[in-house]
Amino acid sequence: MNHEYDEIDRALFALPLEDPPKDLHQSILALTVYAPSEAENRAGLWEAIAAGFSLALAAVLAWTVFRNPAFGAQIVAAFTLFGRGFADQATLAALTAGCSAVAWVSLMTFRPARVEVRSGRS
Amino acid sequence: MARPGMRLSARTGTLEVNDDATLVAATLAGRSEAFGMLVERYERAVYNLCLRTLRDAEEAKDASQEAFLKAFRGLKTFRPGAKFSTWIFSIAYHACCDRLGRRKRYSDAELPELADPNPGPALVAERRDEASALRAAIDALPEKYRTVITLYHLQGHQYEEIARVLDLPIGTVKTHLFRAKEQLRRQLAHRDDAPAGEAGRA
Repeated sequence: MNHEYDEIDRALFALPLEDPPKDLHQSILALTVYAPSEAENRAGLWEAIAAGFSLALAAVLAWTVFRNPAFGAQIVAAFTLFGRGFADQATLAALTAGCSAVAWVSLMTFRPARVEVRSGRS
Repeated sequence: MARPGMRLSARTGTLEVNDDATLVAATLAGRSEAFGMLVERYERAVYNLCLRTLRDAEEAKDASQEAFLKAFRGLKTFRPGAKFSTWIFSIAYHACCDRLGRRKRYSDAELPELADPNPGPALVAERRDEASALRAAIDALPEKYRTVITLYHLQGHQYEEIARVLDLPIGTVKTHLFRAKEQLRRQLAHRDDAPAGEAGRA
């Protein structure tokens, strides 16, 4: 066969395109038009309601505690107990170990992961 | 209210459109099925562009998804007069370039510029037919020629569109295309000249 340029053209234009994976169409739609943005917005609304409720509950509880005449003494007792913990050698050792571990982990470097857009793949 | 060029069937509520610009406008107006139609129109071509550029089916799929996701997110920036095909091909091509760059950065191995020089007997048999041989020859081209020839395959003789996708001058596109065809011609001629047994030899 003599492969002249026009024949290369003919062969190129006759070359069938390869089939994309069967789930490509659905996965693109899942990432774009069917992405759960509305659901997320709805979840965001519920989160705001829950946060508001928690804040109101905290305020009511705080008001109840402040109204207690023994509140001052209770606070002093709590701080004394907390301070006494630092005098304990075992507590100090645990705190030192914990801080060292945090410092060690924060100094570690990780290889950046590949940025991939995947959806619904097994 | 439907825009000119877009027909909205009152009875079925379905969208009947022919041109891409209308589909883009419909997508921006919140008609998700319009974007589905655009995906349906171009997913095969975009996937083939990614597949030819990256030579890896899994990565081609990921790059195609990435291209459509970027297109969807950036649909507002799409110029009304522009061609959607050129735009989506350009996004896909840049997604592929990013992946190729990452491959070079994170891989110790060099990128293979040539197809397997020692194909097994099964592969040789598969490449007997012209389409497979042509695909193999395209795969063996350097990346810049491979992409140009793939876009030429997908878009035809629209050099200006190819130049826009690749962000290259038209002259460079024509030169790349000429050299790509020259290499294809040589590879296919070599394949025709070689005896059947020789092709599978190491």
